[in-house]
Amino acid sequence: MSGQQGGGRCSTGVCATCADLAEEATVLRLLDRGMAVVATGAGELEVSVALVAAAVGDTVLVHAGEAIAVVRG
Amino acid sequence: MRFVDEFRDASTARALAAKISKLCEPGRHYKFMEVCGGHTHTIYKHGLEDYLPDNITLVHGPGCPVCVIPMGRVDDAIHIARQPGVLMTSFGDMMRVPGSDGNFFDSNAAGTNIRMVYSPLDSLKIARQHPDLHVVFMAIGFETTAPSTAMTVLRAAEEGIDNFSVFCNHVTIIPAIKAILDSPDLRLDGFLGPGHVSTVIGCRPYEFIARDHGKPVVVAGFEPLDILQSIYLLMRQLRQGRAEVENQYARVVPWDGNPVALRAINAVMEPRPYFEWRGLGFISHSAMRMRDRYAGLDAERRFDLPGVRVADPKACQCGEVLKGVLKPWECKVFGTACTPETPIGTCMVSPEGACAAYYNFGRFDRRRVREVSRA
Repeated sequence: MSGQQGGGRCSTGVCATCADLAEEATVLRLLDRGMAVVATGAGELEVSVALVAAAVGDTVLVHAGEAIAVVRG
Repeated sequence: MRFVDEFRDASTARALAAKISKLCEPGRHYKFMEVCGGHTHTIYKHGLEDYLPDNITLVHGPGCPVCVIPMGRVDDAIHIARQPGVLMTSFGDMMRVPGSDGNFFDSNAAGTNIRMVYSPLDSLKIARQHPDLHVVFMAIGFETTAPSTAMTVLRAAEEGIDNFSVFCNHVTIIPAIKAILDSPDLRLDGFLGPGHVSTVIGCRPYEFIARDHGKPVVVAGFEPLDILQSIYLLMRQLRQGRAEVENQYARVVPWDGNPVALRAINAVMEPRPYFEWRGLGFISHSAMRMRDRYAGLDAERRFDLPGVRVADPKACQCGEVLKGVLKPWECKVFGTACTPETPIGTCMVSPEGACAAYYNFGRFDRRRVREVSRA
């Protein structure tokens, strides 16, 4: 739940279950049907990369399991 | 950590703050609204207000997706969850949003099955695993989460999954900004534009703010230095007599946004004639509903909803907080009857809510704010 993990308040501002907080993640493997395995601060996660042109190694911005931007720089 | 440490350097922050101070005209007061709740969270987590000169006030806008959901929609969701054979899924921070008869947790205690998920795709996975149940995803959020919902609907349609539907509560940020600009309560000098919404919609939709209202907009990132630099850019525009849209968050936000994501949203959803926002009332064309083509995946059409409008609790002043008219600690119930553990209003629920940000980072009242600032 929002901001609460194990009874304490979330300190990072990026909880996996928060509605509208983005996570930056690195693409590890591209899968079928626009999906990919990404590395987040909290471990590996399968997300959709169908809306961005992301390659392995790119950092993407993930909102609710969907990458919506590639982070440049 | 990449993209984090370099944006949190204290000496750079102090240098930026000094540059901001130099741009202040003596005797003038500046009021900027950060539209996005993510910015509010960063500002209080890192104490950025304390870096700024006294004559700059940050006003917290309506960009917290959970905070703006009216009570009636929570009641509608609980009504759907009570139907036989329904499993509802929701983002975690929606779980504690109060309806007129309790929140999702209370509803579960009374027998419904509302589960937290990380994404709508996870809901679809649950639907595949439970063909005997009808899975309804409670979709909320701005243009940041709408692409995820849209892609899930497209995938469900493609796979022909018929035990899945979406209760669509997606809202759009531009009509809310227009409503704020038209509100006589508030005089603003400029806006910090929502960084992540802009990755999808781009920077062009804000141009009317500069052109028609003569106010600068800087699309801002979410790290402390992003926000301070954006305030600096706003101050520089005011000092130079300019009103333009600038993109401070160019490492993530393309000027034209993400056209593929916009096409996906547009394929699945269309604007509603109007939608009720908590605190702001009914705003025309401010939310999305499912298109006829996806009627079978639309929970609003599959279930008969009560659709009753419920007034906010009298004690709650979330509306004024969402419009930036009141500071959270000026609300009568802030920190007493209303806390993150037992929220009365939505602004106390989500970490993006202004009240939760103030409460969590110790800004309980005017006196305490001064003490925290001196520390």
